[in-house]
Amino acid sequence: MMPHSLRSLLVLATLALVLASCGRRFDYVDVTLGSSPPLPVTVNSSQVVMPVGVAAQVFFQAVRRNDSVDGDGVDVRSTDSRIVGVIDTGGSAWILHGENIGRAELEVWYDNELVERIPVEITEQ
Amino acid sequence: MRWHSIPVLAVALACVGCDVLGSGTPGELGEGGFNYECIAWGDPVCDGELAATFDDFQGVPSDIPIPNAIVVGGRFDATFFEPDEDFGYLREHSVRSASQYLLETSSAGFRAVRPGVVALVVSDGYGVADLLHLTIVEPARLSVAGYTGQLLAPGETADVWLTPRDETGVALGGALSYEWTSSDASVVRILPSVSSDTEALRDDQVLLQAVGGGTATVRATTGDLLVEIEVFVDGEPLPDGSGEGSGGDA
Repeated sequence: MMPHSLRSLLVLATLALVLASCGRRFDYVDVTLGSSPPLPVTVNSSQVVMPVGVAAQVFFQAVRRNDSVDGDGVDVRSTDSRIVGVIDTGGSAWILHGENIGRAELEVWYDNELVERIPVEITEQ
Repeated sequence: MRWHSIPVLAVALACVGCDVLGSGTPGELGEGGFNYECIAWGDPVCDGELAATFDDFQGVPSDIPIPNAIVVGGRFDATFFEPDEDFGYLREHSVRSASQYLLETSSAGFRAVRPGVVALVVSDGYGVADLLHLTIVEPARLSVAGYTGQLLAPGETADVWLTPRDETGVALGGALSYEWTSSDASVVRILPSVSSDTEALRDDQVLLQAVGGGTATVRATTGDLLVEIEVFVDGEPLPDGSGEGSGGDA
């Protein structure tokens, strides 16, 4: 007969394994610029800085350690579309555009779960 | 600003594979071409004539490229055409402004609000997306054409029209609104100029009608720009005095 403490330990270990397998199914969100705007922009997973009026194609992909990527499960939303506009153009591509000068955030969702918040600054030209 | 699929004429179909979008401007993402449309008389891009619109030519879209620069205050429209060679269609998509701060959108088209770089953006939500940046600039000056300062006789008329230009003299895209006044309506009065084809009023162009002897200054303004034109009239006033008290505005 297994001691009670050992049984509890096994249950906890099993639970930890189950939770681990149900956790993030990617390791990071890859954010890359897909076009060449006429004015300098900064686009990465830490920040987006772009001049007002400028639009850029940006790819958002969930990347796993084995380098497999998933763009279909990703959704990107603006916290303030009066500052930064987000247009879903299908697949893993979006168009970001600076509507007005100011600050906002991009919310990156994966399988309906908010996984990243990227600060956005729309600057004067 | 329309959104529908468009069958094109055989002549346009014949061009698929060579240059289906004519001389329109290719989008930066390579999905199709942006075409410029003049929406009012006086847009230098269309050389004084309204652009060929889709409806006017039974299926062939206008193929005017987006000009290098649009004048602040200029009004115009743009469309995007995506070639679909499988079905022999050009698909027309609506175009939006990336920033109302720089380029306002209305049901009639776009109006450039302030100088800067702004993108035209198109997306149908199903994979077709493109964009194109254009430049909005303040006009450096207005050029005057038509009347060249010659002596007019009472009753005689002369056309005069304006074109906004940048510092290098290049005409800027977009239709502007102008205010016209005469310093002395008993010498010269300003008559609206009407397109012979559509009878639409032209804002950029007026008819100077000599009324009576003397010199008067015709002023045209748009935004902060002012143009003054000295008009010389010889002879006696018109017998009916039609210039008296008629006001000087077009």
